[in-house]
Amino acid sequence: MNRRVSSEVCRERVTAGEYDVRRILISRNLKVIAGAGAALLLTAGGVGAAQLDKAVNLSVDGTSTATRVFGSTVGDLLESEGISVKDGDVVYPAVDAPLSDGDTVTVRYARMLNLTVDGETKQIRTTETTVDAALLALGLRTDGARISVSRSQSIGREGLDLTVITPKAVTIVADGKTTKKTVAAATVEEALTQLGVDFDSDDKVSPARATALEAGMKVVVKDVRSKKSTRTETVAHKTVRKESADLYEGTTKVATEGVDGLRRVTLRTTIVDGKVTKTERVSSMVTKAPIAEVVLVGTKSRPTTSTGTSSGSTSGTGINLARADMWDRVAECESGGNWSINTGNGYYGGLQFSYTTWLAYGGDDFAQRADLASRAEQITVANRVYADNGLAQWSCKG
Amino acid sequence: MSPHSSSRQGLPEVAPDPLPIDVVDNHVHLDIGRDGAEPLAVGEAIRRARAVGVTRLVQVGCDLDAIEFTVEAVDRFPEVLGAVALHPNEVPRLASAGTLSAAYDVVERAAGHERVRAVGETGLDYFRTGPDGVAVQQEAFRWHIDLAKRLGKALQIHDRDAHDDVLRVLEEEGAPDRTVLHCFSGDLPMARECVERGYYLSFAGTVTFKNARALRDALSVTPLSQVLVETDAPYLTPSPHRGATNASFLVPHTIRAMATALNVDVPTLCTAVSDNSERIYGPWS
Repeated sequence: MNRRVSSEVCRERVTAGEYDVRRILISRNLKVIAGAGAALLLTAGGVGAAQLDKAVNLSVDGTSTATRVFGSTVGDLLESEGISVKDGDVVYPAVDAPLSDGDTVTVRYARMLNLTVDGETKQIRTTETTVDAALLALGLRTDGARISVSRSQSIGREGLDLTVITPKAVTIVADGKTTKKTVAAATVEEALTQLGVDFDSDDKVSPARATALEAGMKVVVKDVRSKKSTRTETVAHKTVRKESADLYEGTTKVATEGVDGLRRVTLRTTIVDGKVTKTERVSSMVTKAPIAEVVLVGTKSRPTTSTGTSSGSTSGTGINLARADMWDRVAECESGGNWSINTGNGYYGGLQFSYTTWLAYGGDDFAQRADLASRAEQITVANRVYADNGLAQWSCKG
Repeated sequence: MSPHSSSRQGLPEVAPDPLPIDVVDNHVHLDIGRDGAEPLAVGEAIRRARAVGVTRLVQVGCDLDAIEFTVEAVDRFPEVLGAVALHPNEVPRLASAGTLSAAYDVVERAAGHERVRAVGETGLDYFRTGPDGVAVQQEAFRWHIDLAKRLGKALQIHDRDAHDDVLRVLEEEGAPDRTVLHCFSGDLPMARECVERGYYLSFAGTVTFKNARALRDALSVTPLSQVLVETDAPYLTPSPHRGATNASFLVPHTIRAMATALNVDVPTLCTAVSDNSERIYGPWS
């Protein structure tokens, strides 16, 4: 690793018969002189008569021909045969080597392989003439590999495009079973196909099926199925209030009985490896329209007695708006503040009175059910309940 | 067919088969002849190397004459980049002659050349230099490390029988980003240490020798991203020409032995060596 050149070594002269390619020479005083000239071939010193006509064997890319040549070097033979060599070509013996009668001269031309191994492309030079020999010479491990051309395919001087997919050990998880396999595939999808793993377009494959397959990869296939089903649901009817001058104020009357409708709902259930993971509504269609309930609300003034009370209101129907703010909050929570709601759940109105509670506290002073009474009337009844039990009956506490 | 066996002395006549992908010989002494013979002319050395896929060289000049030669060579040949330094065995000689600081000036000026891309070979050599030279060698090594960092050049390290001290000094000074252990000669634990530190390991013909199992073990733990090849020509000729004169066109022998030790195919190794070299030394043209 460490050798000095002593500065006394003179590297100056060109002796006859030496290469005369561009040359750096260092003289004793270390001035560098560039030699000119580009002649590549050796000029032989002293050509003798014995070198006139030689019988030689010329092998070019494995094809041998016997030929005769005048000249003294391998280079002379190549020139007379019209063979030009460039970087990467093999000539044996070397171009400047002397030629003797009976010699064999071997020429192997370099050719370029456009080699793609597992998706990575390289330009590769080889002097081999078949795919098999080239792969061997390059030390490429191709046991079990898939190659885009036949291994015995010859490689012309124009070169060849070659794709190699090497085998890779992978772990496959499918149908709940884990197996280790070796497969020569470029992508996850190709590997599954080659290994005969059943999967369809719905199934979930990870990594994604277009992913380049790598050694050591774990590929998980989940069986995904979906099932459609239908069920029938009720559609709650609406309640419409209409003022009626035929009825006294504070009284109501059902003009049209409400009837709930029906709708058919289509559902899709997703099942991954046998377990339900998701249920979605896909569509719904009303098969029987609901009929709205029509409630008439009286507007006719009650006849007043000539010696009636100054307030003009009957004691039994006295409105009590105490804690109105609290009741509004309870209503907001119970019914979204909809004082005329009737969802069919057995509870009615903004404060969701049951029918029995409503009657027990004299709600029928105002209306048959809570949802048919006004907000003020419902609050009045609620205050009566409150006087007995506080808010115990309500799950919403305002 | 006449015999064309290579002689033990002189340059082998038979060129190896060309490499599939072009590589770099990242350490060669084009100016040095061997066994009393002239070195191959630079143009001829390049032509022969190119014919087998060794298309780029790093010429290393590590004494004053060689530094001047190196600067001339990198100016003339697009295939050649340079590295300059004072060799660790040169340093004690210059110091005792009292010309060391003048020599530093020469190195620093040459290292500033645009096509001189590395400071080297510098380092420690306890094989040729006795205990009295150690202090001045270490001092010079530190100076070269600092120079490489100041100029933003790579560092090529010579280490002969001085593994521990080379690693210690590099640690103390702080190695440049691109540090190459030229002709790596350490064992497996040292290779691991160097790999961990991010150094590049450059392997020469010695890796092909039958008895160099320890070196191949060291190579086998070197990642492809940190591996380089060199000839150190005219020395360290690879098998099957061991003992003959070395030249860059013999690199394919070393590459093929390395691919076997690394358990990779030849094109993969060539690509890695080429990429690493361009990353360390920059583009040749």
